[in-house]
Amino acid sequence: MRVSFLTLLLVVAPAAFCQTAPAPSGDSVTATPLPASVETRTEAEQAVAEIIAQEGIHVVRFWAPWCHNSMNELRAGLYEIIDQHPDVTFTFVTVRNDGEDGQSTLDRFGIPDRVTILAEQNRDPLTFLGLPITWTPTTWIFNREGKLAYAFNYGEVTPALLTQAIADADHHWHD
Amino acid sequence: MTEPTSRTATEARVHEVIQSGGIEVVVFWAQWCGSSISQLERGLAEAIAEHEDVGFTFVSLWDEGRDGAEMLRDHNIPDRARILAQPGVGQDAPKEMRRKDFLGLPVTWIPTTWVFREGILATAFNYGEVTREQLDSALAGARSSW
Repeated sequence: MRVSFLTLLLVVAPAAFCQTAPAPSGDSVTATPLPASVETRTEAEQAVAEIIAQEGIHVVRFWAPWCHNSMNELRAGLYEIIDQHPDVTFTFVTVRNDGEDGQSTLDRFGIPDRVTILAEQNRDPLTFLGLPITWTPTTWIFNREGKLAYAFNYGEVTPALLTQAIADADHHWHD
Repeated sequence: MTEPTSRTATEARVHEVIQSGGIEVVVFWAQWCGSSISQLERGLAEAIAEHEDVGFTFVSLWDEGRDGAEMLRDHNIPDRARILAQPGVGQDAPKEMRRKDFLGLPVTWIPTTWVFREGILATAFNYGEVTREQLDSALAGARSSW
């Protein structure tokens, strides 16, 4: 019984709250390494680096199929936002998911084929291209050939918020 | 992207502020920057007055260490908002001489607005101008325990 209880706990615990990263120490922000050098990038980091370096707007979403908040974003109709923005690239990267890319889950929620699907290996603390990922799901929007325009690093991104951020990233603000 | 640089006293101060707990907004701006001023005019003073439980810190960037306090007061930014300046080059220096990171995170545009929750970056608006609605939405998200 003890074993099965533990197993249940392991299955249930991550879904209950998506922040699997431990509470940060006092220096968590400054201890964050700056953008990873090319030599130390993982495969997923390298693939994303190449995508965001292109002209245009790029949405990169970190998620996991076991995470309630990640699934809520999918249920809210992420595929519609993707369909509405044919000029924007979307990349889904699973994190804290043992390197599985979650493709079948994305298929079930109508995420179109043009989306790039990747898996990041488990790491702790988790950074990606030198930026911290402290919560699942995390959504970043890049523009200006690889610059981070918006980062939603906590909670859930609503379709309205994501649509607004994509529009703002595309806007030619007065410099 | 950016090269590691040592932390300034301004960064140390902001780090101390965000680690103090609760929700903290950090606005990077410059008094010479049209978009920064435009953001100031889009309800920031009212947001600070209304969100009494949220801390606000203005960090002037790329302005030779000037803090722009007078201009913030002219835009009715309440006294409780902290006003700081990051040392560095000014508007006229070549853009490549600007320091483009703060506490290890990229700052490539002003205004840039960050919302921290318990010392962790919750939302970063690193481009364009943040509207009152977007800021309110980010604060609501940061307040939620999800």
